[in-house]
Amino acid sequence: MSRLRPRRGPAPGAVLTAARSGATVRVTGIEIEGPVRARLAEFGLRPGAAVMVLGRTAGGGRLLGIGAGRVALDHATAARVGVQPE
Amino acid sequence: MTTTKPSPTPSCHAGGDGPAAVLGAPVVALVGAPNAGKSTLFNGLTGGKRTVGNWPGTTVEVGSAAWAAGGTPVELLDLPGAYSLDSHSPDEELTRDLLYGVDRPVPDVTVVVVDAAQLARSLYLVAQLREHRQRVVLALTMNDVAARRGIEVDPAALARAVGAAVVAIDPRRRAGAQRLQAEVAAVLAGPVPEPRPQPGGLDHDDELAVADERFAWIEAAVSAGSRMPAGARTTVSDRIDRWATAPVIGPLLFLAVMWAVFELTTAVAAPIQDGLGNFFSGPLTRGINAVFEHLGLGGSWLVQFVDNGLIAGVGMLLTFVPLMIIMFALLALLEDSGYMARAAVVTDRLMRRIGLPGKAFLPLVVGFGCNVPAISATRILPGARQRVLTALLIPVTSCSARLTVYVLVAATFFPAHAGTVVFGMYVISILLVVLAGLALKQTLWRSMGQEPLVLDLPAYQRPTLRLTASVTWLRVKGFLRSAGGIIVATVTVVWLLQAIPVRGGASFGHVEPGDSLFAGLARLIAPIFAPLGFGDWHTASSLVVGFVAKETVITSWAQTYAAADPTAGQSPAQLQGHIHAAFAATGGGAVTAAVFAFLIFLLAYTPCVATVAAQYREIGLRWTAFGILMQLSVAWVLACLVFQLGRLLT
Repeated sequence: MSRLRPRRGPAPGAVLTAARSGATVRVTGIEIEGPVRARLAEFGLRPGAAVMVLGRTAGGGRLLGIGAGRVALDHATAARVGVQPE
Repeated sequence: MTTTKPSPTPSCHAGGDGPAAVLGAPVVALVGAPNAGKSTLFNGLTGGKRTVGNWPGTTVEVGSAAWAAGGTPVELLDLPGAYSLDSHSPDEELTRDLLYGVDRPVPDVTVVVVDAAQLARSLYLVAQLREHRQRVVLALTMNDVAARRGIEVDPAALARAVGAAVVAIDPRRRAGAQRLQAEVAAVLAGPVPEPRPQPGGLDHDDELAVADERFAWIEAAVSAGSRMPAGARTTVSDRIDRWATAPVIGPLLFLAVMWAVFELTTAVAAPIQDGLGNFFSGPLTRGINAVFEHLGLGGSWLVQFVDNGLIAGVGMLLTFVPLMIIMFALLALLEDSGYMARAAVVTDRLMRRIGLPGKAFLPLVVGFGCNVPAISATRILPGARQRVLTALLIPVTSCSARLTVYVLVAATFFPAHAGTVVFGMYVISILLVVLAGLALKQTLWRSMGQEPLVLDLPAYQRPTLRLTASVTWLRVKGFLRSAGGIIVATVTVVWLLQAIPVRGGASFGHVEPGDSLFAGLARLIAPIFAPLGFGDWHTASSLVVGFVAKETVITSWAQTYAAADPTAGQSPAQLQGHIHAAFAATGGGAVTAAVFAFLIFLLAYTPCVATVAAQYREIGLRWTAFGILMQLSVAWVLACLVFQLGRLLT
């Protein structure tokens, strides 16, 4: 857990926005329902997936490497993805 | 077999499909994730000219053209990109309907364009397609990108795993087309394969269970058909993106890139434009007049029409072609490189503030080229209200037609800083989008929810000369086509109105410009613009004519001033002299304020009739009418403020 800060909020565990750039983390859960959850799954972002945090974007979002794919998430979405260190 | 095809979008940079297909020919559909290269492949296969770009959502309509698969004539369909058949937006819905619509047979062969570098992501669609009885062929693209990332794909092993033929191709360099043709022909000749086997206990109503089953199938196919490098590794693209999308640096880089585009465009084009203008007003006009003299038509109204109408109006407009070529080429380079998707990430927060998802940035950027396709591109947005809001904001994105007027005006009044003034107009355009968005969000759409940004970032790629040249040519051709059609028509109407005398007793075609019907009508309108600092009838009428298309502001000016000049034909410098004098007269000592008020009015009012038509098609009569009213009132009020405040300060 050395690379992760605990999340300020009701849910326990860490979230993507707390992960450092360059860290590889494993997705533990996604607190989003509906089409956005499906879209994230299509991009490979689903529980159990290994994700590399490539950087912070303008606006506070995160740039992720999932396999060879690259996806940008906004801050609010990234804050709903629970992760644990790989 | 027939398919319904939505009517093509009218546009000033319209693309084109290829040759029409033989009626009743087998249908081959091209599908795949957004930005997988479907349209590039479609153009390569059929010789069509679909708009292509390295960003998701370039295609929002269906393209159709004749193609031959190993001697068999087929109808090839290019469908909008979709990651899956669970549609989230109208363009994806269109794709699903064409593949499995009610009352519509399944295409005879579905070619899925699969990104070799992102195999897992591309195969979700394949997993869904293979749940039905249909022929599927995988066209494997981006093999070079995959190789650079250390990914090895074995087409034969992948084919066995997914139960469909796999062909490696490179649409950007037009390689592998023949192999694809042969494979499609072979599959077409064979039987329709059975759906892929699924576990017996699968509950098809449980969406999560169904999705999990697909992901398991995909994982099995990926591990059988490819080898990934151990551990994640960062690429050159990632290193660029750390800067290109970073806080502070990212937005600054975006502004710098845009400024460079407009500075380069105006600086490089200026001397070429002057040369062309002098050629039209000098040797060309003299040559044509000599021919008319020779034919015994010297001094007739036909000469007047050609000199003061066609050459003055259309000729002046054609001097902007080099400028268009340079700007379109630079934007095409940016699109093809993959930078535009980064720009959407950088501007996401700003877009969010005005109630739009970052994805709405893409249609807005298209608007800076031409508003008409931009309004069609709003179909990539999931929510109906977001589509209406975006379509209402697009007209204040400064299109390339407005650029021509900025350049002329900036070169007239601020010759040393023309590039900066033009760039400033683009910054004001962005500010107007933000302010109008905020205003609409605070008033009409207070309850609109926020759409999250989940955007695929394609790997950067070195733009190819062929692709850049073809996209540039496509758009320049659109500009020329509009110059040849609606603009010649407008020039003719203006000339006719100018040729009809209302006072002074002159005959048709020989009337003093101030005595013409055109001037009479223009004088009625001019007082509306007096509080804005440009109540001169030449300028007022050019703005009215400019409602048809912004290029006609220039043609109208050129025509009204050319008619005033008995020495037929005029150089750009002469036209600039006239414009300068007009603003000096109406500006009342605050010429600069009047010029800026004019530029603001030009930016903010209704762009052209084609945009109005596109809005009507996408958001209906009520919103279109609301939009026009909003544009005209905002333009007038802003221009009035600029002039009146500017006058107080000078």
